[in-house]
Amino acid sequence: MNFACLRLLRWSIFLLFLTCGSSFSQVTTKKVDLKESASAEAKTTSTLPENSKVTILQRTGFWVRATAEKSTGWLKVTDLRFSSEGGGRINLSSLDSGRTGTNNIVSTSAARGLSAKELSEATPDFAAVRLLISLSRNEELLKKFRAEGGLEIRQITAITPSASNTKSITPTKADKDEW
Amino acid sequence: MNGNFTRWRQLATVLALMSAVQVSSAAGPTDEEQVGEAAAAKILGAARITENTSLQTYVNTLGASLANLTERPGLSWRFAVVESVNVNAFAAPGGIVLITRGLFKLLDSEDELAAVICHEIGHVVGKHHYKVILKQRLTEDATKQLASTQSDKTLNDLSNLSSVIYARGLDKGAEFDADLFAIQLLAKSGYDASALIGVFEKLAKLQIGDSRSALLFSTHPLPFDRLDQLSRLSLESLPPATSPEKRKARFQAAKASL
Repeated sequence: MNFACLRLLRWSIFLLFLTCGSSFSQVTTKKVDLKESASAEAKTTSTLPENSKVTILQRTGFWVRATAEKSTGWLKVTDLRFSSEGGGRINLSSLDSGRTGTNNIVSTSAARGLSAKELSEATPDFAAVRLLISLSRNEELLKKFRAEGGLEIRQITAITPSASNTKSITPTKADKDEW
Repeated sequence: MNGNFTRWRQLATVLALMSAVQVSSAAGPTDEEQVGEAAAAKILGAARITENTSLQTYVNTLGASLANLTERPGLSWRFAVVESVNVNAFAAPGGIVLITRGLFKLLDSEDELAAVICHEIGHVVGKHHYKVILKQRLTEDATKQLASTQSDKTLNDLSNLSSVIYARGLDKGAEFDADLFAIQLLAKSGYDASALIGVFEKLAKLQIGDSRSALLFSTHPLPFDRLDQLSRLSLESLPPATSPEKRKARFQAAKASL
């Protein structure tokens, strides 16, 4: 059975759960304080133990307002587990999806959306590529674009996963906005 | 006289080296860029670049402004919208990034658009596709006992090889790496780093059975898996977006022109 069939099977099973009327929640990954507002400095309204099921009501940045049994408050989205692996179920509120599963093979490019058939049968258009490459790059225009968009370059600390098989990505050196 | 001869010889050496540099600069695209052009040619054969010049200029400028902040600003970075109702974004080795009209229409802000583009830039900077294509090409060349050439037939074969790899998919570690890269580039450039979550939300709401997202569902990583990967990161130190209201109008204008 190929991966496409496996994915279809997982989708089908999940749809079966949906039609049975089951409710789903995200699950906390650790003991978490629910806050009065979307800030670590806000007052704590209650504390949830690890593996508490919550239902997300809304999101602001990396914070979500969620409800768990009798408590409602804000917590960081990174304190939640969304996949079904490990027993957590999927909330169909602001982060709803019909998908579960942890198939390792994914596309990292854009053969996602253009149909496989269209992509496979397409005749390569090198003329279009040459036209695209011929587009000029105007540094003054880029500077103006950033300024008009209110974009300011910042120096950030490299983020390293605490426990992951991904490699950390080193940001570039601190940049001075030369524009 | 000996001193003069030595100075002339030194000057000749310098001139020769300068000429060599000029020749190598004028030699054409690198292998990575050639692979990318071949890959992009296949995509563009399926979906043409938009004729909406203002939209195209907006996306290309936005992408270039982000690419300039990476460790590979010297690539031939080009960003384009392609005419497809399918939900899709494409990163070709060497700096070509394509986003479909279908995906653009899903997005609600320039920050979300930047999140998509930053993710694709991450694939290019990390050479994710290039490494896989390179490996596969070496395998095929060895099997066929071929040497690399510049022939049109070889470029077409490369295009076809690329599309097979894209449709088959890659290891999800590269996807998560691109997400991590995107988060950091967004924050560095002044955009809202959490906009990537907004993109996940949009993707998660796509309906099963819709042909526009069929390939997305069969090859795309689950939004929830990607969210869980973010959970392993300490994102509290990331600065908030700068002046998002200043770019709202131009994004809305671009989206309205779709």
